[in-house]
Amino acid sequence: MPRGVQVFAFIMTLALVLGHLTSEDEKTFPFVTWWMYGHVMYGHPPKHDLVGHTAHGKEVELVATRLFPSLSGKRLTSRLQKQIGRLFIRERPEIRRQHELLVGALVDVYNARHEDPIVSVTVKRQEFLLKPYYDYAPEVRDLWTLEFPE
Amino acid sequence: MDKRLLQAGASPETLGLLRIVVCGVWLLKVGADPIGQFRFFPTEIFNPPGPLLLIPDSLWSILLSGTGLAALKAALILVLTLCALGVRGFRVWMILASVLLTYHQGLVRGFGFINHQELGALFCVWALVVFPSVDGLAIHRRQDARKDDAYGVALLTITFLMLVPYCAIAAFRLAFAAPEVFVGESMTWWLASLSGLDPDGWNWGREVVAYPLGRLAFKLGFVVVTVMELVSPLCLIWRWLRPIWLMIMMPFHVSCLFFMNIFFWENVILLPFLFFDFPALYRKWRKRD
Repeated sequence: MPRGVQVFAFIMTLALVLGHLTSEDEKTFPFVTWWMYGHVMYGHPPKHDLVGHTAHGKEVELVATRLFPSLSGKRLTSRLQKQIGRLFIRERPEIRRQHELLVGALVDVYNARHEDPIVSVTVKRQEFLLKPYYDYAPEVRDLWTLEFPE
Repeated sequence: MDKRLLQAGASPETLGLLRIVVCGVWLLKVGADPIGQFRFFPTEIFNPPGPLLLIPDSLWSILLSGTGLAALKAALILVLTLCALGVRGFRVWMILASVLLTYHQGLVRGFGFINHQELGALFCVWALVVFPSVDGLAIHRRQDARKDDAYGVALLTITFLMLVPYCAIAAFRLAFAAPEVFVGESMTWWLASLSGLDPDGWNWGREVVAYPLGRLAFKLGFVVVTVMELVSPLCLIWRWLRPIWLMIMMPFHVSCLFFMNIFFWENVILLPFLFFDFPALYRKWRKRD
């Protein structure tokens, strides 16, 4: 095996292993922790929806994958879900700010395409009940509302 | 190279075909992704990961502008096409493709979150720089094939880089979450949660958890898939394991789409080209005719 190939294979293997062990994905990307389905999950899985209220009083779903119908779209959904999940547990100003900016960006894109603009967004939470129901809980909670004046 | 090893005796065409498929996968991905939409996002929500941290803050306003993002997409499409065709100066184009794709993948994760979906395919691009991947099925190819099984070594290394993450995932799961993750309600949790994440996606996961047999099937499947993930690197040396591994892991990837809205389609396309020498099979088939 040529020396260059050996060096490449060694560095890549080392980087893959170190990236996996350090758990600092933001710093070590693209060598990340491979954690898929690697944590025990407790409680009932939540579903968070963004409901926009338009200037004319209509309610519309604000769905990141529809506004950004790209292969990267689901990453935005996951980021939103993570932000909402964290803010639901504990108020954190830094995450709140990022959350407002991200929802604001979705609203901007929606408003650029629609004549009736969204002026506020309510974040809703519904839990999927596991044992023994295995169905959505009947109640949907309004978590918070973000205002986006015209 | 030992004849029992994966892709021992591979031809320049085998590696050339992989080059075309890898570049094709990325062309599809980059072409279909309207990355220009990121111009609508405030830069404050962008968290540059890894090597993107080296880019000065002052440059981001240009790089994340509509023009900057359009230029990135155009450059990637051009460079990947040149790499797929195997034109003169291939190594330079492939290095450029590696840098631009790493940057592209950093961008989509900086605005979203860091996952590992395309990273195997990204490592394939990096590896194609190092290996003689332009000796076959290329416009500007080398006339004489190399000796010492250079193509077999290339395919073996690339497959190793693709399979190590599978093994790492299983090792992490077994080290940090076993046995609770297998016997408890975690799998049911993911099925219900992920199939509710995308209102326009597949919701079979939510449906299947309503049935005891459905929950049991997924729990058992989870154990089988974890075992297959853990033994992934053995596919490089055990010939008999390869078809079994593919027969379990391919349906696993596809079922993740319908039941969890997660689809590692890049791996589904790439893995068969790493496991099988299609040009050799084609030559055999032609001879038989």
